[in-house]
Amino acid sequence: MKLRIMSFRGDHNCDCAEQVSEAVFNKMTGKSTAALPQDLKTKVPDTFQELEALWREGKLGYMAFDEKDVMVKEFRPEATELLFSPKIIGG
Amino acid sequence: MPFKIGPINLGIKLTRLPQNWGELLFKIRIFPDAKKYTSIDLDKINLEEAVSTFEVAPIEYSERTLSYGNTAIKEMTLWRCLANSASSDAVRAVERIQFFHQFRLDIKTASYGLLGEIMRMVSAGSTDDFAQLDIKDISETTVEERAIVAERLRLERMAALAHEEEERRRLQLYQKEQALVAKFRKQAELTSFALLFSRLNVDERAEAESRKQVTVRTPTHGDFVIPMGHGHVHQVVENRCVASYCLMFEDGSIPIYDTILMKILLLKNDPQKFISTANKFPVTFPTSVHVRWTRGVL
Repeated sequence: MKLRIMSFRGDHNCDCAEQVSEAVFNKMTGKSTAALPQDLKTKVPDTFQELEALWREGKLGYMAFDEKDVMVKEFRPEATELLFSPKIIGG
Repeated sequence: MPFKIGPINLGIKLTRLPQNWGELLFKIRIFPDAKKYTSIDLDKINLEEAVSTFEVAPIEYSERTLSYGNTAIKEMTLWRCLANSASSDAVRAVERIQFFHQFRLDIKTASYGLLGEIMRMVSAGSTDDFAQLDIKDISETTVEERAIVAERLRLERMAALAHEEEERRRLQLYQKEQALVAKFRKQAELTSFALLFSRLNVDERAEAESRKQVTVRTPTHGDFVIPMGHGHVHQVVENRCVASYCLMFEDGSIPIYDTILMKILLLKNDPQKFISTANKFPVTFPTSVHVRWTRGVL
């Protein structure tokens, strides 16, 4: 599954295994507050390592959209792509 | 014995003269030992050695008593009053010399010293009466001070040069960092722009290219016109612009095209969340908004 994150780098993306994608999804959308298991952490690609900093700082509450632009509230393994959008506020 | 303040010698002349009808005239005159002084101007030490000339104005105070009835106590009180004013004025006159600060003399201490000297002379009944020189060179007195000032200036200049060098180095570093940041931001914008356009359908892309906006139709809240840049999202209901909304990422470093994509996706999926999160601004004057389906001006 392809994971994409809107970040200060622009489109920040990588391909992850289903198990890893689910863990990342739960973490980023705030469904899980537990730390990412060590065995999964090693499987997270290097480009996603900075997510750890986001988690540590509590910058969660991402919205996720699948490849058809549909908001994903529960992890769906059949999705081929997940786009994460950071937390929003009124301007 | 003249009273010394730095390189200046001050002479004190006391006069007590009987006047008509039993009156007495008391006079204190404080005068420098020369009419003019010359010295090297230490402020110009590293530019050119310039000889400067200074003058110290003499100070004179006098008072006349009432006729008769003068006692010793009354006289001493009068001398004391005159000495007080004369000593502080004389020290101020010396202080006005440009290089006086180099001698590091305390004005208050010098004033009290001169006052004490005057009162000592009143008690002793002595007075200074030496001939004033026309001009006196005091450069020698300032040689030591000159060396101290030169060293101080040298150290200050070295510190200033080191500071300038440090500032230049910091500026170069800052400019290099800014260039890197600008390059990084440009790359991030290009990436986010590509992501946005990959998510737009054919009609939306055409609208974005031609009108620099994207219109999203929602089933319950009307149409929303999102500008392809910074700016409010306009809500259009039944061909009327009813409100505008401002929504952004909490993290301000994310490129603008990601913000636009977020607005589009959120409006397509959850317009109620968009409206409840964004700040709403009422439309106070008719706004011209082009909606893709109506192609009309509201």
